[in-house]
Amino acid sequence: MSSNRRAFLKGLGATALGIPLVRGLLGQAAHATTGTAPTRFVLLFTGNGQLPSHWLPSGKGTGFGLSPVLQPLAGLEHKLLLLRGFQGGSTHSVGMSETTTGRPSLDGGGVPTGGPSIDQFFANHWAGDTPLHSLELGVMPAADPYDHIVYSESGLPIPPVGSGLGGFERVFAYANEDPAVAEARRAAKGSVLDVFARDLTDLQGKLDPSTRRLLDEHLTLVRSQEQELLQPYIPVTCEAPPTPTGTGLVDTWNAHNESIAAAFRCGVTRVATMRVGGWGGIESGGYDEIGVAAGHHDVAHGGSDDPDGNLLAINRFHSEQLADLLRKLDAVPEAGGTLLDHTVVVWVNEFGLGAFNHHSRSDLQVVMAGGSAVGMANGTYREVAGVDYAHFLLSLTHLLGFPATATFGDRGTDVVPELWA
Amino acid sequence: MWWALLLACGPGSSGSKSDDDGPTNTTVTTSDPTTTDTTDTPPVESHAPTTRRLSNIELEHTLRVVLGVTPEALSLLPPDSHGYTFDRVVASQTMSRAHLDAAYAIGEEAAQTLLAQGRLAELSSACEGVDLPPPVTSSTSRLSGVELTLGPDWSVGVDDDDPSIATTIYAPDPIASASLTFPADGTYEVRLELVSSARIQQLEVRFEGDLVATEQVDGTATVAVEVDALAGPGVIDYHLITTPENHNLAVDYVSVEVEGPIDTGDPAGRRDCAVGLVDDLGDRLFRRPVSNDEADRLLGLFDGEDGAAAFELLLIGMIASPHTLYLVEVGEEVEPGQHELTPWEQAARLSYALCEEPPDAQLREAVRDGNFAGPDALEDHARRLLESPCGQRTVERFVAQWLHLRELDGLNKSPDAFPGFDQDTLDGLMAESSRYTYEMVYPRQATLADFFTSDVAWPDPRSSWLMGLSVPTQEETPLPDERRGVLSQPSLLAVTAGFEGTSPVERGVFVLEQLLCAELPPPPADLMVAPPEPDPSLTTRERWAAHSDNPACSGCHVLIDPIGFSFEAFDGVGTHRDTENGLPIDTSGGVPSIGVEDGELDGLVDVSFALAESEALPRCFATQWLRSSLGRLDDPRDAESLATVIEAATADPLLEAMVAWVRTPAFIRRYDSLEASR
Repeated sequence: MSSNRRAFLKGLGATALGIPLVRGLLGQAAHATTGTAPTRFVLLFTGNGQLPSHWLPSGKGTGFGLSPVLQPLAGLEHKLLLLRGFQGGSTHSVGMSETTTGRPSLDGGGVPTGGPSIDQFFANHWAGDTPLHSLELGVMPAADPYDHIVYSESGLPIPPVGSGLGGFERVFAYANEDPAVAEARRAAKGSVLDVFARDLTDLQGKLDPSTRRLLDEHLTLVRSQEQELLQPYIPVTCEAPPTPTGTGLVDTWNAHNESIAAAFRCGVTRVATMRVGGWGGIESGGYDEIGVAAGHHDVAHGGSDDPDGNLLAINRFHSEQLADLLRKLDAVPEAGGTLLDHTVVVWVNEFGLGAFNHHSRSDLQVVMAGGSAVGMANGTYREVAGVDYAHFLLSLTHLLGFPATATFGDRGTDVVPELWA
Repeated sequence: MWWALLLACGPGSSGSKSDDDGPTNTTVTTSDPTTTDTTDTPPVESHAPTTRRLSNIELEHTLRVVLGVTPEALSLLPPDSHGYTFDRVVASQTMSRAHLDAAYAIGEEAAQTLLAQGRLAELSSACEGVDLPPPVTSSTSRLSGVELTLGPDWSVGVDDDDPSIATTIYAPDPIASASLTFPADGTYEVRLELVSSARIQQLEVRFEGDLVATEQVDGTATVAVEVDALAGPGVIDYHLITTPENHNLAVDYVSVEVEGPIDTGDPAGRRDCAVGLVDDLGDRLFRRPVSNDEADRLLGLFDGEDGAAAFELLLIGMIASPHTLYLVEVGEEVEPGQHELTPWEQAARLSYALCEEPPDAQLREAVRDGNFAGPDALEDHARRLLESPCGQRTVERFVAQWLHLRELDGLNKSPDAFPGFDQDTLDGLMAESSRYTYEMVYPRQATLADFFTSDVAWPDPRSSWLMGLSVPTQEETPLPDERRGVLSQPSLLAVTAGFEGTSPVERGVFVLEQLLCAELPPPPADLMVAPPEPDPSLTTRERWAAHSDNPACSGCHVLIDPIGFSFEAFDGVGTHRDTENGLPIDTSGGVPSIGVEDGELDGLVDVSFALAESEALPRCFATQWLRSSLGRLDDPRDAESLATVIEAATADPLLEAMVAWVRTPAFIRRYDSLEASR
């Protein structure tokens, strides 16, 4: 069986079709119709909320001015969409899972009642378009159940890669392969996965479903990879940025930004997430490079009005890193615009605007960027007084090309017009 | 925990606003899955005893022990979660594409290493003496004539028409020598192309000094020999033995080509080797005999490929198999929802629980001989494993995880608040805490109570200054009066404190959660949770007074703070202090959740003794040990098994308590979820 399968797969190479298919700027636009460039999605998560005096832009609408925290985004205002006023449904650690899945956790432990997270919604719909399903990155992430933001359809967390080198290698494992070698490897892997799928299916028959959660997910993923391997191999040629070597805060985040930009421009993936710290954010000692000795959580809770300016410094740093990513995306010309125009970037936080020490999911703020190619509003600051945050997630699905989506998460059902131009 | 001290604490009825939109943290009831009230209890599914993956460490040990390889691709595995304290509790495990890709990459790298190093014969005797395919694909390299070393010097020239061709003219007994480079160990064909102006009766070919062929050459000829070479450089010499008839001899040396490594074949032997690998290696990787169906599928991988690729795929199919990656347990149903493990499964469970490694030769032999059944056999092996180096390592890792001492690695402390606390100090703390665990558990056969009340320690020279001691080497040292047991170790005091100072809440929560297995609800939903501001005119206790004063906080904090406050004579790195900010420190406290009210105790030593005398400590130890060893959370069906371990933990040495559970149902059974079992 397996040798027939391999012969079948070998016959399906690109050359057999007589069409030299090459990835790169011309990825497959399977769902979001945006000319010749597909839509990409990036979600950046930082926690612990924002002080209104730090974050709130001056003015409103298209005449806004950047706030102290957002100042590093200067020069990019025309591609930003700033939003405030969403209302989340739950607080404290519960809020993290709701921020990406639209589902609160049951027990305050941060684990949602189900998935997928918004990024995985897109990755699942675009599955097979790109060799890498999605790219999960983190800056000093952690691995406990309440540290995650990315969840599969079945509600299992998908962990991020914490090192700059690791993120780079995850992207470039799928690029610049010798096509003959890659095709042979794929055919072989398909045969091996077939064996795993049969073994798992046999095993499922012997175990009660209540005891098979990880095995079932394993089988789902094996089958998904088998499907992907059945598709014709399309080589990815990608000019790589320098291999990352630094392991500090700034080097790691820069490397991750490079990896995201490279992955998008080369068609390695269309979906990326970036998690900063674990639950509570980066801990004490982690922000040494920017001159802050304490951890983010301590700083956000440990006093009033940020007397040492540490909270502002931390959040400005986050803005700087986002600006770095946006500029890298904007530097890639694509389909009459730039890669940034074809990417919807969202920067979310589980807590909103509030007085120091608050733990509230009221008045949630979101920084969005890019997306003009799909009609996203650009260059404006809008208030959405009290709109349920779950509707924001649902609206993202419509924005990125899935207008038939009726519900996202537990209760995201309405479209928020403020996202559109 | 199903039996947990689920503390009836919460915001109470006053003070906090309730947030309509979210679940409010009301008084939490005992997490009893048999009740129908599920508003505040975790869903049963999230705690169901699902099949678990081996931890990353267990997988690494498995590959090292069974294959003798440690692939670098192990670093691709996402880090294990310690969400339930230990790195192998299935409730905190996940599965993702990254895991799948990492496992496959690990299999590939391990397979390629084994093939490149020619080690299949180590893994199965059926591979001994079998001519295995070369690990790299054949390639050809070429040296042109002018790249050869020719002699005698005076006779050497270059061809007029083709400058790549070297010549010797009029030389008797000319010699040509080629320095070759072989990409891998194997058999190669080396071909010399030459043109001779006259018949040469004898051309001797030597490889690395050994004569490999004697040929006759007439005119234009290709002299081909087969050599067995090792990877790297090798020299081949061609010696033309001339006769008086050859006095006008002119020889053109055109090229030397090297092709290989050549597959010399042995299909039957190789298939036998493949079958042997499935039987021998497969059994050890899967920790049980490979079934016929599984064997057929694996050999199908072998049969579908040629050469080295056939073996590579076969090996990947075993190494990256779910049967290797997961601790698969099926067993036989003995009661609804309860399955008794087979002997192989019991051996694997025991070995991973106590050694984080697959069953060793003695265990495997016992199972094969039918000598591995019944509590006595289990107990004998349990003792043997715990006493072995791998068991000692697992015990040390258990304690380091249980008591959060693993957080010493990478611990950050403010250099302003704690000058002198540097990496050296940390290294010393790590050394002294692992030594403490070893000495107490093994030579001293300490009980659980001893562990928390001992009057000796083994401070390291690099960190003993934290205890006010100076020791030349790590040796048994009596503790000063203010310290007793593991809680008084600077290592533990440091990991339960913050960056700049102590946190009574952190230490109180540590004791409650790690030592008493209490489940604390999170702070109230809408409460402004503000640690008190630093104030040089107050002690830590005084600054935290809001907890006892504010009814929104006090519900839980009357249980937490009295513990933490009694530790306050020790600062954030575990140094003893009599004053803070010039003020005397009030170390009165208690452990109300075990019935010792606030004010009944004074200081860390009192708390340690109170814990050591409590019923809750051995109960919690038993729970944590079961959680770590079985890799799952406990549930009501474990009551009887837990009771056995608790009894041992109350009076017997810790080692005995660790062994005790192998005689219990919890050890030899696996359960379906409670719901599914009804």
